Amino acid sequence: MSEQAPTAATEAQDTRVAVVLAIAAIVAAALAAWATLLTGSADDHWQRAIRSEVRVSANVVNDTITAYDQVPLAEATIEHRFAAAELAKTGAPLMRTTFPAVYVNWFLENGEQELKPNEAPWVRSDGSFDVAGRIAALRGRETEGVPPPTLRAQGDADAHRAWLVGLAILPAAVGFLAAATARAFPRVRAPALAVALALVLLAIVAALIGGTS
Amino acid sequence: MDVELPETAGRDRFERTVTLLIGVATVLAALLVNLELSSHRREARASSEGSRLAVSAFRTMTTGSLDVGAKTTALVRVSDLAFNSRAHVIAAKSDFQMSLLAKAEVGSADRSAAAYLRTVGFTVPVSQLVQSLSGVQTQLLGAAADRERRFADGVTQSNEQVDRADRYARRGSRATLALAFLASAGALFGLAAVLRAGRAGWVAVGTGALGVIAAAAVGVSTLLL
Repeated sequence: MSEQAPTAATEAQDTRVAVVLAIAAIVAAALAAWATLLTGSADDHWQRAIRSEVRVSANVVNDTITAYDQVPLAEATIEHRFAAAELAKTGAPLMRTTFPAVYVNWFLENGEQELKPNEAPWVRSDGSFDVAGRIAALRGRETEGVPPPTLRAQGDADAHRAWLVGLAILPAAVGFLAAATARAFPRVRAPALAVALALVLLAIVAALIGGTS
Repeated sequence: MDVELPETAGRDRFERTVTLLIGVATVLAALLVNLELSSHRREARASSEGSRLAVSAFRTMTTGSLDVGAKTTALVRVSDLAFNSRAHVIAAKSDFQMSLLAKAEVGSADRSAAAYLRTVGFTVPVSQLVQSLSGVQTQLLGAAADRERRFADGVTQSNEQVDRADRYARRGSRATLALAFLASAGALFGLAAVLRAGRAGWVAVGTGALGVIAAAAVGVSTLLL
């Protein structure tokens, strides 16, 4: 009996050490997996940001080309209209036979004194074309989903969480080392096990705070 | 007084050594996993940023080229209108009717020119159109030079990010190599635990320890990249 009691106590202590070792190993592995998943999520967001950037850029270029392509047609009649207005101011009868006669006639017969804006709203009253406004209007029609800066920010946030969870692996690993020390040196078993448990708990709490922030 | 048999003492030392080495390997593995993940994240971020800057540079260059092209076309047209209309005034000086027509043409040309210039972003008063043309030309050259400089800057920044991504990729690969050494060491420690204290067991432990040292050395060298 006297020999059996210490053996049973030793076995119980060994079991406790083994349990702490297993917990520390599982927590470290789980945290590594979590950090890996968060890193993958960050990577995914950054990749999506590139795809979105390419799509936005293609649309911007396309819209700019479209707007500039519309300028010559929209401004095609400007010179004739201005010529008609200037000629009309002179009041000279020969003007009815000159190049922009059709505009002069139209102006005179309709009693117009000033040019009216044409192709509003993109051609202004002074005859210029509102390129920036036209591009903005074309851009407004595009459906581009989540903007690239938002996706990049989401990726950065995931990466930050992954970094925090990754850091939390360290106390779990040191906890494993402390439990191993408890196994190797029975004299310091109790304090080493306490330290191991504290470190594993610290790892869990740190990972939960960092990973869900 | 307890007397420890030499066989028992040797077994204890063996088990203690294996246990501690596994603990040390675990801490080292945690550090290397962090290093590997961190390198991967930085590589992915730099690579993504490099692509973004390249796309942005080409977008800026393309839209800038369209803008400069439109400005150039407008300026050429404006110069034609301004100088031709004034030439007609000089030519028609002796004829009253033609002179009226030529003056009307100047007014019309200047208004059209001002409209063309405003379309491409140059605001010039109609009354000062001719005097302003050289200034507009300087602005146009400035815009073209600015476009070229911005494109060159974008390409340089993109290349820097690609180099950065490359450096972190090498660091990540090195960390993976260190983890591979560590995995081999872990397998050897497992083998040692099966073989137990004895020459074969100690050989396995020694080789595993060398693996841990190699992994640590590779890990430290990773930080120098």
